Amino acid sequence: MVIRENEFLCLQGDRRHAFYIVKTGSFIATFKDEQNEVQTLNFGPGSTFGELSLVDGEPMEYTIQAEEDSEVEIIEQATFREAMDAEPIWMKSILSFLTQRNRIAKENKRKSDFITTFPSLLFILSRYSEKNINLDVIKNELRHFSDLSSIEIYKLLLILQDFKLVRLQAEYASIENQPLLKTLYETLCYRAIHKSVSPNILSLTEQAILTAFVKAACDKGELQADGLVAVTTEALAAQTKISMHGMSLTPRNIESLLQKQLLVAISDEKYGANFDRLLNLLELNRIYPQLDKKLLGG
Amino acid sequence: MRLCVKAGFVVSSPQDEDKKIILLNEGELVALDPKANNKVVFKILPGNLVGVGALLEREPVRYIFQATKDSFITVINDECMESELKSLPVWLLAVIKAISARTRRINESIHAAKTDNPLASLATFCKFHNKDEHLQAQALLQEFSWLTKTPIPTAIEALKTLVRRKMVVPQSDGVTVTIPSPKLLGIFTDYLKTLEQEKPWLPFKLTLQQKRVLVWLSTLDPSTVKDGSGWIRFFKEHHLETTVSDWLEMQTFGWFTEKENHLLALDADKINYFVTALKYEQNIKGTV
Repeated sequence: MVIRENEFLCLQGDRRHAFYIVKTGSFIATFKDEQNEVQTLNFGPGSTFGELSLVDGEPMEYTIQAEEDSEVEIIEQATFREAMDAEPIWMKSILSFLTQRNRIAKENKRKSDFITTFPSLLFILSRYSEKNINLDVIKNELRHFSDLSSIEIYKLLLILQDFKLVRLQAEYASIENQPLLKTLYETLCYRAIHKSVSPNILSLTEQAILTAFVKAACDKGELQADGLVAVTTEALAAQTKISMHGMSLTPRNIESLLQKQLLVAISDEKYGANFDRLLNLLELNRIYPQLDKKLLGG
Repeated sequence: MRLCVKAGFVVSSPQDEDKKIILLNEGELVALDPKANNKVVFKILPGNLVGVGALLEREPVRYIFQATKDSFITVINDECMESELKSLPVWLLAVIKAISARTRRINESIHAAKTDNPLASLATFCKFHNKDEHLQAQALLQEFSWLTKTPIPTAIEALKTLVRRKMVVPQSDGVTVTIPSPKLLGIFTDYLKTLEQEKPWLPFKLTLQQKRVLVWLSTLDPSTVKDGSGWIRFFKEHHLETTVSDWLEMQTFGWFTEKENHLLALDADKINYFVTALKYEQNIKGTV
C-alpha cells in the first residue's frame, strides 16, 4: 500500500488490529508518553509496528504519518488468523504465551516504577520549603528521579494522604507532617543502603513502653528546661503494666530505648524524651507495616 | 514430537542441556522447585505449555517439570522450532521477534537508570540539601543512586561535573562536600532542561539594555508599583532608555506581576533568579 507524504497511516488508539512493515520511505510516529508529553519516533524501511495490536487486540500505540511517499505492507487480522490456522496448534500457544509475558512485563514495570518512585516523592516532600506545593511542581521535580505518569504520582500522594502525611486539595498538596515524611524517607533509605532494618523501626516491647510513656506524659508529664518531657519511673512503670497487660518495666526492656536515645535517664526516678519525636516514631511504626501492602496494591 | 509419559516421569529439568518447549496435551504436570526441596510450585493443565522463555530467549529453567499422571505431551526442541520458524511467513516471524524484543526491552528497563540526564538529576537531588551543610560524598552518591538507579560511576562523573562548576565544593577532609548555593543548582537544572529541549534560555538571551534594567530593578524596593507607562517613564528618568520591544519582552520574563488597576509590581524572586543566573553564567555554562 502506498501512503503519500503527510498522509496518516493510523492514529493512536485506533482499533484496526493490524501489523505494519515499512517497505520504502519513512514514517514519523508520535505518541503521548507516561508524562503526557508528545514523543516522536522514526520508522524507515524494514521497521515494523502494531504487533500487539494484531495479536492481542491492543489499540494502536502511535499516530503514524508518512514523511515522504512511502510503501507499507499491512497484515490484517484475517490474514493473521488464516496463517495461525495453518500452523501447528502449539504455535498459537507460543504466541499467546509471548503476549502474556509481555503483559506481565508491562505490569511488573508499572509496579516497579510505582514502588521505586515512592522514596523520591518522600525525599522531595520532606525537604520542600513551602507547606503547599502545586501538583505540577511535584511532577516537574519528580521528573528528575523517575518517569512515572501523573496519574501514578497522584496515586502515591493518595497513599500519603491515607497516612495523613499530606492533604490533597484541588491542584495542591499540603504537607501535614514534614518531620514524619523525613523520618519515613530516612527509614526506607537506611533499609535500602544498609540492607537491614532501620533503628527507627521498634520492637513491640519498645513500642509498648513508648506508648506508655506518651500516656504517662499526657497525665503527669513535666516539661524540662531543655524541652524534654519527663515522667517519673513510677508513673511509667504503672502505665506500662496497664499497656503491656501486666508486664513489668525492667531495666532490660528499657535498655534498648536508652541506647537509641529515645528515652533519657534524667535521674534515678525520672525518664525524659523528646515528645514530638516519640509521637512521630510511634506513628511511623504504625504506618510502616502497612506501607508495602499499600504500594503493592497501587 | 508427541510422547506418552508415565506418572512420575521428569519431562524437563534445569540440568537438561537441550532447551525445549513442552506442550501438555492430556494429563497433568507439576513444577517442582529444586531450590525449595522440590516443593510443588504450580500445576500445568492440558493446553498449557512451559519452556518458551528457555527455548526462545535462552532464559534459565527454574523448575523441574514432572508428570503426576500418565500424560501426552508434545516436545518442541531447538531443531523442531527452527524448522517450524523457517516455514513461517516472514511477517509472522517479524511479529514474534517484535513481541520478544519488546518484552526484553521492558524487562531491561526495570533495572535501568530512571533518568536520561544524570547531571540534571544529581543537581536536583543536591538542591534539596541545606546550604553549606557538610555532606558525606559517598553517602550522597549512594542515596542518589538508590533513588534514581543511576550506576555509581555515572553518579561520580555527574558529581565531578558539579564540582568543576563549583556548585558542589569538596572539603579539605577529603570525604565531605558542601553546597554553597542550592538555589543555583535549581537554576542550573532549568538551564539543562532548556538545552535538552533545544530552546533558548531567557537569562542568557538578554540584551545589554535589558541586563542594565535587570540590575537596576534588583536594587529597588520590591513593593514599588507602577503602571506600564509609569515604568517606562521611570526607566527614562534613570537614564535607562528602553524600546517598546524591550519593554514587551521584559514583561514576558516574569519580572513584573500584575496587580489591580493595571499596575505592575516587581517579582523579587524572578528578578533575583535572573540576576543569580547572570552572576554565575560561567558556572552554569561550565566555562569556569
